[in-house]
Amino acid sequence: MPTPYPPTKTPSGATLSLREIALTYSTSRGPLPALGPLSIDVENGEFVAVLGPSGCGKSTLLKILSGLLQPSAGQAFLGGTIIDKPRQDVGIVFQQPTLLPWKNVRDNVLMPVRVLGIYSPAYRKKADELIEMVGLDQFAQHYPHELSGGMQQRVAIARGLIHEPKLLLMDEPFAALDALTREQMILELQAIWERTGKSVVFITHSIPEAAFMADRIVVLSSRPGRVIHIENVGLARPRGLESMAAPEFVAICDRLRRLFTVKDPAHA
Amino acid sequence: MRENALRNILLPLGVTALFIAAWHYSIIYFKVPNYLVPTPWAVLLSLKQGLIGGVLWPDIWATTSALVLGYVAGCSMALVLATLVSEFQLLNRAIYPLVVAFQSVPKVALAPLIIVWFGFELQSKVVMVALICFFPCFVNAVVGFRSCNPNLIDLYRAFGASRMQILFSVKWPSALSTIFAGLEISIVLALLGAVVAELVASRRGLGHVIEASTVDFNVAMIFACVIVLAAIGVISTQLIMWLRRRIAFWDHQTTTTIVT
Repeated sequence: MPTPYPPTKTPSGATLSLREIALTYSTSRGPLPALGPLSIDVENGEFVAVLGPSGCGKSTLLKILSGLLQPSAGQAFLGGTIIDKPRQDVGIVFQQPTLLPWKNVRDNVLMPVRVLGIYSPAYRKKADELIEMVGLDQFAQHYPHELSGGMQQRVAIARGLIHEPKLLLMDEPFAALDALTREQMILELQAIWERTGKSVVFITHSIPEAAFMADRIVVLSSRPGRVIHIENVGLARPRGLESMAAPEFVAICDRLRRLFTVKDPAHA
Repeated sequence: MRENALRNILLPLGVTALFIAAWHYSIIYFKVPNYLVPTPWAVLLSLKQGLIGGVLWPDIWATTSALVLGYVAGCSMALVLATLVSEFQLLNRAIYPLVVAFQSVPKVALAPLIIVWFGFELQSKVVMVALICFFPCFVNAVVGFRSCNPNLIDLYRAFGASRMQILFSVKWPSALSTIFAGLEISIVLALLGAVVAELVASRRGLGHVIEASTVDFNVAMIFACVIVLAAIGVISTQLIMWLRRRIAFWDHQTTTTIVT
């Protein structure tokens, strides 16, 4: 039996702490709740997957975490300080690579430090290390249109890490890739995560992806997104593709799948 | 690759040769009088007289300078206004409908008025060209700015980029390929504008030569002018396309949004 994941520590010890976060859009037909209220803690170095149906407010959650959107209630803390504006210690990877087509791979990776105004020649070396880590060392001078979708997404991951963020936010980063590339990227992301030790919030639609990657899976209900289940994934690391066949993995996936087939998950 | 290039050159050349032969022999066969349709040889002589003899060069220069000045003026105004419209919602609401409404006015109909206002010299031609260039360039630029990837803007905002920074390092480069689509349409229209202004009233330019040649039935010279105009059109379009390949090099697809 693998050891179960240690119980969540006090919120103050967490890297990321969401306290009763909620977001309500005001529309012409009255208030439209989009998210929450929900509370999530992410430990330092923890990999948390957020799993939910379409329209559960995952993208809204990502915008709140990156400081682009203010929650209408509750507070989000990162490293002890409140998230109330865009901040430097968050890295973002979108579903689409979202690269600058007029810049080569290295300059794309360096984009955050240039925009933040903290560029120094040392970052160039760091960029090359990250490019090597994602397996693109032959392609540093190439332009995005010369790369495949999977390669572009690796550039986006390297870019998300260049400014040493405390937290890496990933919004369905592999959803646009084909199944084979996707499987490979999952393995690579695990290796990258183990090397860098970042806290990761990984938003996904895919149950096996969440179960394979995460230490902990937070399951959201449909709109407005609330936490309906938290699954601790105790599988030993590093996980290989064979662990997807392990009885425990299958049991977790099965449990999660049942959550979405119940008629009203909010009362499950 | 080589064979393809050869075919791409030889095929049009062959068609042109066939066309000239048909032209030549139908004049002989149907006994078409020379004041209606000139022989290819007469056109060639007019071209020689105009280009090598140097009769046409002042007019070519007049048309080309009006073309370039008007094009640059019209397109830069369009780009500045498009930038403002896409940055300020209020301006967008106030100006965009007016510009679109103005586009439905056939600007060629304004030519006499423009000549009344700006005279018979270069100015009126430049104004005409600028007016005609403005719209395709403006609309394409607005579309380009609007179609910028919102995630990219979010990413820049998340890293604390200023509005100016986002405008110049994200929106403008993103819009470039669409802007170039507009510039390609504008250059064709610009030539049209210049010639129309010269036809209506001007003392110089290829349009003026065409107008003057109709008076003395010098049809060969009219044909020569049309050929020179076609050459100017082809060269300027190729120049813009070359610039596009150089500047917006990442944009391979040929299917860019083109709004006319």
